[in-house]
Amino acid sequence: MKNLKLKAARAGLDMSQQELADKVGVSRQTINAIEKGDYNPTINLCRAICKALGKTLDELFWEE
Amino acid sequence: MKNKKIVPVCIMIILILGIVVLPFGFSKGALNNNYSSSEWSAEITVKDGVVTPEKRVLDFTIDKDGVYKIGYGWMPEGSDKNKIADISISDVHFETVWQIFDSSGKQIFSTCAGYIYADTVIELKAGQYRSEYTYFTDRDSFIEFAKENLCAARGAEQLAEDVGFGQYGGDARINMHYYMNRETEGSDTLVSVWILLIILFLITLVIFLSSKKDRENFDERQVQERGRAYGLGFFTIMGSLFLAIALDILGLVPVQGYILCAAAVFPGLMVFLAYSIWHEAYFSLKDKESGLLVMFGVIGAVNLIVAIIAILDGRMWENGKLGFPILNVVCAVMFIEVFTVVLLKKLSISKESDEDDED
Repeated sequence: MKNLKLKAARAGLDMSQQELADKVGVSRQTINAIEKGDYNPTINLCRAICKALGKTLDELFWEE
Repeated sequence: MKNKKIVPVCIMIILILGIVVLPFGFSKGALNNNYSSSEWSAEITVKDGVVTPEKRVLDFTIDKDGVYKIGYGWMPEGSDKNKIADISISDVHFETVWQIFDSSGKQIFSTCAGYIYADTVIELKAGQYRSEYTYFTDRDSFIEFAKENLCAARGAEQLAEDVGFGQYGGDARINMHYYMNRETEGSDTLVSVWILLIILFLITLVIFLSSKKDRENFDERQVQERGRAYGLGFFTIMGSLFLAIALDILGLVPVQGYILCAAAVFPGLMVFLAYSIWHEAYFSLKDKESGLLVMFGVIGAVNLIVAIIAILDGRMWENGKLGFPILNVVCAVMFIEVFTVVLLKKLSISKESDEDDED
């Protein structure tokens, strides 16, 4: 399932996938895979992404 | 600071030289610069103890002075030279004496047998040579010939006993198959240098890969995908090895068994490369993709060039089977595959980017 919240949060900060990837320490393709729903990140990666985007886990990764 | 850079630079130079030069080691041309192979069939009739023709002559030329390995053989048509022990002496109807003469008429090599497949090493000077095949069904004629051309009188009698006169089949019209290969023997010095170069290359590669681990950085998704790629590659190698063994046992492909097994590793490598590149898990976060692609291109091109040279020189086939240079072809195919997958992936990413922009 696509992670549109992540995509929206990233776009809200006017950040590209590459910039977010560099900040978090992963490849751009991994960020792309997470946003497309092709990859489920570990909790550590989720926390790193939340920290980079200034959001909580619930806001980015919790299914409603 | 400068000293810290010298060692990595030296390592890179050795690796690059090894990558460019070593593929030539697959090809015998690196060590043997003169190779020729001949095979032909001839019909021979034996009637009432008379062989027709009595003799066959084959002239050949040696281009360069050197020590040559001469592979030779003759046996009834349809026999397998690799299973010569299966031939019965009663299948043979005459004795063959083979002699090589130089341009001055001096005999430099001789042997005799009903059927044979062997090799010998002779020092030859550049020039014209003549090889003569003389046929005998009569023991006394053979002994007379042997006394004059092959050995002393007592030796000729013993030779006639040893070769099995009297056990041959009777009148017949048979096709005999002949082989003659000649190649310069690689000098021991050159082989030793080659082995040292390979050892040096491997040591440098180990040092390079050990240091590379400190610099590699794959993220968690890439590690997961690489794990899957390794698994797929492993099972592909297992499958292709079993297939190679089966093909060798059944004799379905004209390739030496050890070359077939070496080539069987490549499908596994290709599967690993294709899967990991497609899932963007081959290049680490710190790898310079363009630099690696250039290196792959150089390796692929060198292997392709070496293979083409081997084909043009006639060294791709050895005694009716594909020789070591076929591995250069397989290498080149593997690197072409890498480029193709990288290209297709870039096109796929480009298409995805366009679709994302539309979203």
